[in-house]
Amino acid sequence: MIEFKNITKKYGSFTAIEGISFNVEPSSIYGLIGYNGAGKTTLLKTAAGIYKPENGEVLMNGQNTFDNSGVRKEMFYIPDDLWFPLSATPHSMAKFYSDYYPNFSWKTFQNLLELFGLQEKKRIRGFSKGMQRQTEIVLALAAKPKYLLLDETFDGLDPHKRDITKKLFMEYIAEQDASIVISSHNLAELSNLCDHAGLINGKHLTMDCSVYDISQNYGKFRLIFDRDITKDDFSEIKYKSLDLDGKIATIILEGNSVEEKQKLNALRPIAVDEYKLTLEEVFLNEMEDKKYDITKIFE
Amino acid sequence: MTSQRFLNDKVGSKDFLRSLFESCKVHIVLMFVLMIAIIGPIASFAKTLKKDLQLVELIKNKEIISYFGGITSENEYSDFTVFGLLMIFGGIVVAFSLFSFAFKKNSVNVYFSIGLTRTRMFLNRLAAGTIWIFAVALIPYLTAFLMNVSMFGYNSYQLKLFAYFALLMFVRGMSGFAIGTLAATVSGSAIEMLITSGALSFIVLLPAVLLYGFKSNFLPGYVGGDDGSDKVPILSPWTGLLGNLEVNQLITGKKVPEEFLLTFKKEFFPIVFWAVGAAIIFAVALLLFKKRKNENAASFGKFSIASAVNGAAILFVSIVALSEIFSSLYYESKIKSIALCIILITVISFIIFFLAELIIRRNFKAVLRILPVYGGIALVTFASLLVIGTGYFGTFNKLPEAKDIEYISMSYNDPLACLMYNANVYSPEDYDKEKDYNCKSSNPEDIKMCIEQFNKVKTEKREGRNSIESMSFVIKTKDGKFIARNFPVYSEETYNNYNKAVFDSNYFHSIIKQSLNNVTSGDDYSESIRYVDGVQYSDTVGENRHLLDYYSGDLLASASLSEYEVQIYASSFEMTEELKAALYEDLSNITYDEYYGNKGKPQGALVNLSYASRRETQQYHAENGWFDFYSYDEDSDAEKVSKKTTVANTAILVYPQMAKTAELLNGTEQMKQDSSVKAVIYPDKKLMLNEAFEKIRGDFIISHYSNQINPVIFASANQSSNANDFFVNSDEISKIFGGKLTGTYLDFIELIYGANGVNVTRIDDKAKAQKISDEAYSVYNMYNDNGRCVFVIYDDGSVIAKYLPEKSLSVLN
Repeated sequence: MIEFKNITKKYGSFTAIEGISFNVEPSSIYGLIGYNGAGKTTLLKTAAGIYKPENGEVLMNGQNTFDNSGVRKEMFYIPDDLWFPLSATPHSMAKFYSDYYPNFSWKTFQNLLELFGLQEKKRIRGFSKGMQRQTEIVLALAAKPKYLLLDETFDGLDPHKRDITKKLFMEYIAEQDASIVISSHNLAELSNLCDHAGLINGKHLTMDCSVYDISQNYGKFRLIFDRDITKDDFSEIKYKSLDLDGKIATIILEGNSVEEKQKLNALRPIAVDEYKLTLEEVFLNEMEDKKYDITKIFE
Repeated sequence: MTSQRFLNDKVGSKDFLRSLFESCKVHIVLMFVLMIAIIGPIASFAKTLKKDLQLVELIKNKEIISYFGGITSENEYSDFTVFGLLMIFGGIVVAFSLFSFAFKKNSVNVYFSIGLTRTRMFLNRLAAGTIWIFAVALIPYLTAFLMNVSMFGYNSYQLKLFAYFALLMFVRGMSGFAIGTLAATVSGSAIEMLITSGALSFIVLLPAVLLYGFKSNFLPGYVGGDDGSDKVPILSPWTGLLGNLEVNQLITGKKVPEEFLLTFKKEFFPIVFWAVGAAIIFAVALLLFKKRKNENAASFGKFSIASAVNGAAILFVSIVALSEIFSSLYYESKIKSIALCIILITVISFIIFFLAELIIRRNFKAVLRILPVYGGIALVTFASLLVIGTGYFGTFNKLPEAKDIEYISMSYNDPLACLMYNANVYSPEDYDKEKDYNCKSSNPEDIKMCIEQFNKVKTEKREGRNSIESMSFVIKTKDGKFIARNFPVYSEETYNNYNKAVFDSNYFHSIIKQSLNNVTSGDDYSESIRYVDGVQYSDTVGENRHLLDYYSGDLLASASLSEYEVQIYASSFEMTEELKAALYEDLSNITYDEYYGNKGKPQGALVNLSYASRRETQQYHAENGWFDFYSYDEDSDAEKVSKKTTVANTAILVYPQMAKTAELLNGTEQMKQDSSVKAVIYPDKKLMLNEAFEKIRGDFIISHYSNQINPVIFASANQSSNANDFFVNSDEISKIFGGKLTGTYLDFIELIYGANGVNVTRIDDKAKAQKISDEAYSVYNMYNDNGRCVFVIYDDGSVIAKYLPEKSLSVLN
């Protein structure tokens, strides 16, 4: 299990993240979402032991990850900004990581290279960005870590490779009982990969729940009326968002209470359709306090 | 079962091997360069063995027992200093190659997330670098040692030299490696690391340099050495480890005792100092590496330690540079007030520091926050300058009572170097070491004279003038303290009074006696006394000088110099005890005015000759433990000397008043009798012959090897050329004039002046010529006016250059 305990990280006088706590269970994938610059990478680097937090600690298997050689042999961090020496090949990099990861499996490495269609002795600097990322994924999985920290790992992967990668991660956690934390902007991908998700907003973790719960926590309804309706008609209802278009209203309710549904029915719509919210919709709704009217930007 | 500890060790070991492998390229290049530089000269020496039978003979007789390269200017010898610098710089490059992963964000992500503690990561790189530096230091010198064994046969001295050089190189490399590592741990980027390495290397020196600069520039009389500032350079490897390099590496069995390696303090102290220093620096670097903030990678100015070090270095360097600039402006009278200098140094260094900090930190608020630090430093700077500028408020140059003084020593600026050594002002410590240094006096009258002169000289005011000379004093008190001071003198009156007081003192007479005792004749290589009768002087008075200069370009002419010959030959003269006694008596009795203000014709000069060779070798003095440079005669079998040049080191003019000496010299029939004046020639403006020659000399230089009446030595820029005669062969001069120089010395004078557009007037009226000669002086440095150089031609053909003061110019009409 990975435990994030009250993590605060500052850059000089600037606080990047503050008081973040959550757990990642074994055999689970935790999706980390947030705006650009929200602090996802900072949190992952802190977890990897690269940064020392001003406050709090990240524990893996109960051990602090900072400057801890034991636990870090079972942890692999794939950063957004990859590092390969000038003349590195997948083979030389595998040799590099095999020195530092005692469980490194050359067989897995060969199998994965074959799966992704990568050449072992070719210079990585000559690879495309997507191929470089695939190489890093191959290296990470071949190192057989119990903890995988992935920062925007799907960036640059084509849909096919993305699909393969997702399946690999699923298979990997099932086989290795591993814990994965992944940050991504592609929320649709996270929604069918992760079993848990956390949202970092304004330095804090504003949401931390299972992906299943997310859909349970929100209710999206499309209501059709036989009359034009206004916002005032919904004044009695606690909603997260409301879009009105003549006789049609789209409303998102936080929680899934029967009471609120009854209030909706009390408005006497002629039809009511209920939908499940996607992760992206949840993300956007959580962030909506910073809604801009983009039509006014170029006035 | 594989234990966790074992796994840790295994990963750590692999990381160490990887570090060792990855840094090998830098070391291989460094080793390759050193191998060529160190082995090259030895191989070249081995090659010459095949041709040089004399050398083979020397080796056979165990005269030469080792060769590890040398330090002479000859190209075939290796420059040992460069190896040292290369090794230190190499150490910094090694640190860079091993820790450069910490400067890029993407490599930081990998290295700091793998299964290694920071401590192990650091120690692995330290071990890898140390092993390589050891190999780089060891292998070239081991090869050199083996070559020595094959050339000379084994002896323990070779083994000691090999061990010493290898150790020295190793410590140099480690000192650079330590500083580079510390810089790497506190820097965000490669460029910041290199700058910080430089700053860390020198910053320890800067406060001492600063203080020394302040004292040298603004503290009246300060000569250094009394505040430990001469010990400070060891604090930087760039200076500390280079001070002990002057070891002659062409070792002859007879001349260098093996014990020299055991002079621990001199040879080994910097090595031990920097071995310990490097260990401490590595320990500090490890602590900082463990606390390194990786978020500051790939940045400049975000690490507070590097920024502080670089900022302080900029501040110190700017203060040092500014104090040098302003002190020189002060001494050139472009700024009249020390107080103004102090204020300008403080304010301008503040501005430089502020701008530099803005560039480094790129954060105005951050710079503002550190301004109080600068304020403190500025205050200290200002206060230090104030205290120093006032001579510690007058206490620095306050002498003790005469009764409390053990002995005194004073410099004497003898224009004719009457066989005395100037009282050089050593640092007190060095002065005390000079056990056989006799230039001192405990005579109460001398002590009284010294105190009087000290108090007069110290109150000299510049008043916009350039200094004429510096007067040095060393005073040892009865409680063992040394007071060493050196004051510039600005007024002629003070200058002449000082010289007169010293010349007429017991102190000076005792120096003459001791100096005469040191003179030998007929020695193989350095000293022989020759007698030259008839002396001609000319002068090189610069237009901006207040007094005529006593040295340079004096041309000796003698009775044997006819109007049709340019060469003068000196006669060898035996320096007997009798002659020494006569000289001592004459020089003790003649007054300062008689000696330096003499209008008569010197009857001759005793000149102490020595050879200045292009190639010098050192000789070890077992009795006092230091090396001296010696030049060897061409015939010496110890060392071949390429070209040699005869120079006069000392000279004593023999005036008619010096009766005992004159009598002795006349007794040898080598002293020419005085003859009457035949004619006089003089240029129509104040231009000394050497000055005139200097302006047209082309590729030739006039070398002034001594500050007395030594001969003019014409030499090409690359090669000394004259032989044993005083005046060079006319071919050399002739070349300057495109082979047109023919005729006499007088023709030469006219030619030189003519080339400068100066007319020369000749007066053949014997009575008038005699009158002019009577008004002219033999020694020029007494006068500072718009006089004339006059050349007096005697009946016997000798030509004497004299000086006619401005007040006497009317005799020319």
